Amino acid sequence: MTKNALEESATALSQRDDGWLVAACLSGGHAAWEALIIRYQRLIYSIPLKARLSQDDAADIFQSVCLKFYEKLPTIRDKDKISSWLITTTTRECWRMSARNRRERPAAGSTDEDGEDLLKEIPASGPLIDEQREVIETQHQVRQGVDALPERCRDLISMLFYQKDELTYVDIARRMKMPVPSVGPTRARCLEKLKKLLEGKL
Amino acid sequence: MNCPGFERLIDYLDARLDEAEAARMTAHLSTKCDTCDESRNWYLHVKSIVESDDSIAPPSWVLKRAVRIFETARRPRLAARVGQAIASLVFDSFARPALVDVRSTETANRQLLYSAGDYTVDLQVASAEHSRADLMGQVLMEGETAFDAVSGLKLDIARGGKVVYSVKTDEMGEFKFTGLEYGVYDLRVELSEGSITIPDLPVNESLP
Repeated sequence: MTKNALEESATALSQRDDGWLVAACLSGGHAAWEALIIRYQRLIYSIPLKARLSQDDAADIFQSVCLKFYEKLPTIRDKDKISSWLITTTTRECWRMSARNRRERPAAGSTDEDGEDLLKEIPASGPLIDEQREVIETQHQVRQGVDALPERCRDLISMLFYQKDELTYVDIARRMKMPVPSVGPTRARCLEKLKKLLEGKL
Repeated sequence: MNCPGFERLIDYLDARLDEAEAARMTAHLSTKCDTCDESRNWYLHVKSIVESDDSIAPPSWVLKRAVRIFETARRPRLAARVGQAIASLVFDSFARPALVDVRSTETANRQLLYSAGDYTVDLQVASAEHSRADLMGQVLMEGETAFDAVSGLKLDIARGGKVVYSVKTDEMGEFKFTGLEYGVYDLRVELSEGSITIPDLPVNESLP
């Protein structure tokens, strides 16, 4: 990988696929590593929160998973399975953290000394079930598709999809600094691009 | 009605068409237009995924700490050097000779500076009430160009071999132990590549 390739802008890197970013990391590209972490930050951080762990625990798990991810880079064979690997690894870390929390702060009636019974109880009360894994993975795929759009499209679709309040075309036109009549056609073109990007992924 | 196209379809699904146009679109969709059906299913599916997406981005210090893994991990010699390191005292404000004939009515907090490898731990001991003191500090790591704050590190303070309190550094690498009884403590900073211990740390009253 050339030096120029390793020095691409954050915007350019956000449109690279996982395989390219992993290769760039292994060639010493710090920015590629940052792009990978930014890409997967929501996926990793949200899992412990969904498992009802605290924000402090979620921060520790995030760091631990990222460290494991870094160590895994040289041996990642299937670059399309990174999100799946991260979900599994994060879920395991949630298990460990839940088990540790229960050992350190045992609830009434759950005071098994060796922790065996406590671990058995975790799936029912905490970490992720299969349907949730699938939902998280598809949510990530859509976000990744939106991030891979050209900048204007990404901003427009993010505004339409992820803004909490529903925006009128007039609001969107003002924010995007474009004429109101252009909003509809631009949105349609951007959605068509997104549709192509997500082909076979949902 | 001819196929109205993707843009009109999306407007229809988002309820942005006027009543008459929406009625025409409803009529068109009832003709089982394959193209529109496929686009409609795709858009509604994506919208449902987006609407269920309640994912949260981590705080910026959590993200920055993870990004730093790359830099830290690529310096194996530093990691090996830190290991289970004992920090050495670089500076102690109480060890400075008092200025001759200078009196002060203010109390002076004790300031201490320790280092281990590329890490620096800056400490300040401030007297509190009832023979207790607060211990504040900051952990810094020497970066490529400057000292970077090290956030999210766990610090244990122990007395007589027993951990008394644990805290974590904030996004500025700062931490605070409040209301420690006067005494001698061991402070341990946990790093991803090992730990740094500051042994025999004096936590006692400020200079009068």
